Amino acid sequence: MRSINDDIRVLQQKIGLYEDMKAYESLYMLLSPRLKNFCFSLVKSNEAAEEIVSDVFVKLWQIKNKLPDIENLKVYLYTIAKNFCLNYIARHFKNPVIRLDEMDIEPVVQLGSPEELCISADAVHKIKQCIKELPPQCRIIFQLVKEDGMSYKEAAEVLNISVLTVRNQVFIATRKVGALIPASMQSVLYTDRRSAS
Amino acid sequence: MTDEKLWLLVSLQLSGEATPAELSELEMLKQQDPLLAGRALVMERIWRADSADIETIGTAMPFDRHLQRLSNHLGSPVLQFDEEPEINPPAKSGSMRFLHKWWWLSGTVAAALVLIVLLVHTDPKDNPASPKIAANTVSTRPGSKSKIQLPDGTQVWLNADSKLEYSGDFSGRLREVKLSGEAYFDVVKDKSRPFIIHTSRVQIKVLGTAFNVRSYPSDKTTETALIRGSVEITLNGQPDRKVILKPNEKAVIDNASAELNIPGNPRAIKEKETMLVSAVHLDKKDQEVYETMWVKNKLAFDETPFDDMIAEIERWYNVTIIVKNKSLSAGTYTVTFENKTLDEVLEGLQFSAHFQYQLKDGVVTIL
Repeated sequence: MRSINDDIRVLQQKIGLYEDMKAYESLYMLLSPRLKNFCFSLVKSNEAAEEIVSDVFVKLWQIKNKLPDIENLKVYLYTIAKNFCLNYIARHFKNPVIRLDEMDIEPVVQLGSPEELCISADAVHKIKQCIKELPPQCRIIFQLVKEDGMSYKEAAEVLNISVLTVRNQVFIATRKVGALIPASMQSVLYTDRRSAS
Repeated sequence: MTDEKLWLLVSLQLSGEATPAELSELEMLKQQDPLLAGRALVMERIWRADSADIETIGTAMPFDRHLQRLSNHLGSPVLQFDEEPEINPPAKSGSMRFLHKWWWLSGTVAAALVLIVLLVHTDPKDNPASPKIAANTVSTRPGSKSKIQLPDGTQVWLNADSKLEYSGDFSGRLREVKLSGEAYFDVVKDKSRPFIIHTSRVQIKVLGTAFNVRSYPSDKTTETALIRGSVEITLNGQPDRKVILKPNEKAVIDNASAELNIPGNPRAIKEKETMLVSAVHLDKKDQEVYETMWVKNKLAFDETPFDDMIAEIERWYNVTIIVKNKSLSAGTYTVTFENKTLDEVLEGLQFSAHFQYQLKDGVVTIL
């Protein structure tokens, strides 16, 4: 995932120094789908998530002169997105819960098909269910690290928690999912892979 | 215990956070236990599952639409954007394409200017019903309701004895409809093409939202109740008289321009109370909004004057009601009928209003 951060860095400079619209578009294309999933997890509305992401990029354009000074733009944008989501929730929900660790979070986590994973559809289903039932904070951390390719430090900054918490929560999620991966037939698989490589 | 250790190391490895020492420890664990190693492999595949292939929650807003929103935010169109979707844009080099878009922008500005001029010149008094929209007309008879979907996907529930006109396919810069009667709108968001509802007294401009409009010619007032989003209401012929509603507020316009006292928080317009803003009527129990209950087939009244209630029942059941006992007009009524027949409604009202009635040939006489 280093390469993505390098790409972002280059675009960030182009936008900041030259108001480069092409770079702005590229950055939008690069980050908006994942940012949208992140927002969707928090606000649970497709439409609202779309608009929030657009607002995040409006904000980005408004502060473009400061871009060269921003150390990690990805973290910066996710943090703005998170704040916008919390604002949205405060405005639109009847009983707003604006603490991430108390919020119900809709996970957007990719698993792959049973064929790709070489496990039964039933096992895939159980894993999906398991991810949905992780504690909310654990879900969003897992999503940021696995889906958005964030380092523990980056995820910790976005969510304003400690790196150790991120490390522990990713471990917990991995262990819980891992416990559902069936052991049968796997030795065969493993030897297959070894003989193939 | 090895399980725990394995998953910890795997989680570190897959996150890209493992140290070389941890990586070699993981390798060792895998070699010792091929079963665990197999499961770790599946985990790796899960971790690397390509997000492109399955159930992503839609995609983000297209960049063009984002640019339009950006332009709106900045107040001035500092950025290029396509005014209309280009039909099969010919392949061009980057810079050419951008030049092309700039050109479109100047066209947009010109179009907007022309439009403003037109509105200013054609709006006022002699033509209070405003632009001709026509093309498609959907209407409901007294006693029936209807739900329609407009070409842009907007949902409209049309209450009894109402009429909605809209132009063909909504292809222009504005989505305009004309309403007489009552309708609940759930407007599809499209910030580039505002949705405008013309009634005999006001025009309502929305960007994407849900709300109820009540504008029966026979009613004393025109009401707009907002459920979510935001709408801007302008009095016909008085473009400077406008009010922006927040969710769960309603604007009540006195059709006769007479003074009207409605409890709530008169905002925005004070001098001559043609237009008042107040809160919508919420059901105390379940917070349901009275103004939109008809959409769910509930005939609902909240402190409604007797005469208004009778008019509503007439429309709802397509009957004529003659009230002989004038003393009944004094009271107000709060009651909800769900899927009830006319007889059931009238019998229900008898409990509190104490009247006798006769129903004959579609005419109810209240004695």
